[in-house]
Amino acid sequence: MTEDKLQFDRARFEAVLDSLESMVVGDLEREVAISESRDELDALAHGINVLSSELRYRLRELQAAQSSLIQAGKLAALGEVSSGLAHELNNPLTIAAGYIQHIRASLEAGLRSAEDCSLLTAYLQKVERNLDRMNTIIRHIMEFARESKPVKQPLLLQQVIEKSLILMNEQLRLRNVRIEMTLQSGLMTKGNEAKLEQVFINLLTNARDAIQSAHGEAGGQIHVRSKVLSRTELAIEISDTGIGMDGETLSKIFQPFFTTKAPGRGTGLGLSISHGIVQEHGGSISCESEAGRGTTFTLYLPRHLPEDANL
Amino acid sequence: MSLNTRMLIVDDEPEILELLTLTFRGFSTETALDSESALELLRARPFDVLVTDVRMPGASGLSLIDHARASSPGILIFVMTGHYQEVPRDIQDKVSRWILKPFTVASLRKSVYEALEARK
Repeated sequence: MTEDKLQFDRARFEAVLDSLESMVVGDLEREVAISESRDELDALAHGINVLSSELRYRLRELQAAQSSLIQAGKLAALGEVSSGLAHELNNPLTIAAGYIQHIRASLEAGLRSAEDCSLLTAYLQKVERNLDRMNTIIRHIMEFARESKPVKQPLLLQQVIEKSLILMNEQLRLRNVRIEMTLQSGLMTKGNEAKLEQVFINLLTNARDAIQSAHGEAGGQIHVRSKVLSRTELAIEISDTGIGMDGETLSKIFQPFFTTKAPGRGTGLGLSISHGIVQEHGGSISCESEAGRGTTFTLYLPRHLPEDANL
Repeated sequence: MSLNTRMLIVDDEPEILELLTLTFRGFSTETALDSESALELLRARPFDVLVTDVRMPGASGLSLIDHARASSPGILIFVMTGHYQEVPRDIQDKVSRWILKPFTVASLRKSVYEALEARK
């Protein structure tokens, strides 16, 4: 091999090495150029290209499986709150239908005075208000259940938490679980709203169940607090006065399929999916618990400052 | 059916209480937002009809059935629920009529009037 040929091969060899290094750090899109010579180095380059294409394919499969898992977890979370939602929809439907019957009866009897007219207006307002109430719930179920686009946008944390409560409120109220919020106003993060809402619903559902296991009908309290940790990080704590966990249970809670709930009650995926979602947002979850005293989950999320958009 | 018919309506939703009070305005109605307050009313005086929801914060509406039967013999009991299948069999038999949610006030009124008529 001549000196020139060696130089040329060394450059090609370094290009192959660069591509391998890129693959190691996650860039699977880069392909190694193949020369006209079709020599051993080209065979190696071709092998790397096949490997990287195979990895790209597997990664796409994995991402699709992860997104199906998140979607399945989301529907399971919705299933967990569905009986409360049915209760929450039945009442406004009964009220609206009931006043419509009274309106019809009043019209059939004939309107005789201004008082009759104002009564009718009051009934119509009740129908309207209850239809609005149903509309808010149904629209939100649709938004939540829809497979969300992988778009991250600036989000007001308080708004995400309040939206998750649209689906949770009735559940908590029926079980005498009071919810107290100490939320710093204007705190923002950047992320996918439906996925973060899924995390809050999972945590609030677990808190609800822990309180019910500990206190039954007497209920208990959930406290949601948000705080700023630094210019770039914020934390949200969800504490409950529920049954708590011992050290052994605590060490397994983020494992897929681990559940303390009765068979058929929980999928055991809620916390592991939540953990995945929070990691995807560049954050983390931690948990402190004491058996018989209660549990606190803390979510750490990157903080978004409105002026970041101008940077 | 007149003001002589004493009816107790129990539901944790104030608007349902308001709607049913309007629906049964020919009766002498009293309302309670939870089972505990309903129990106090049942202890204080007899009623002819009890209309109650099941799922409410605190004790379930089903817990009122035995008290109502003891304090108001012959009372007609109407239970409004969206979850009839979940009700234990022995309780199912203690109720005059189950009203499945969502229901229309016309059907509830018809059921109550028919039961009162049959009791005569």
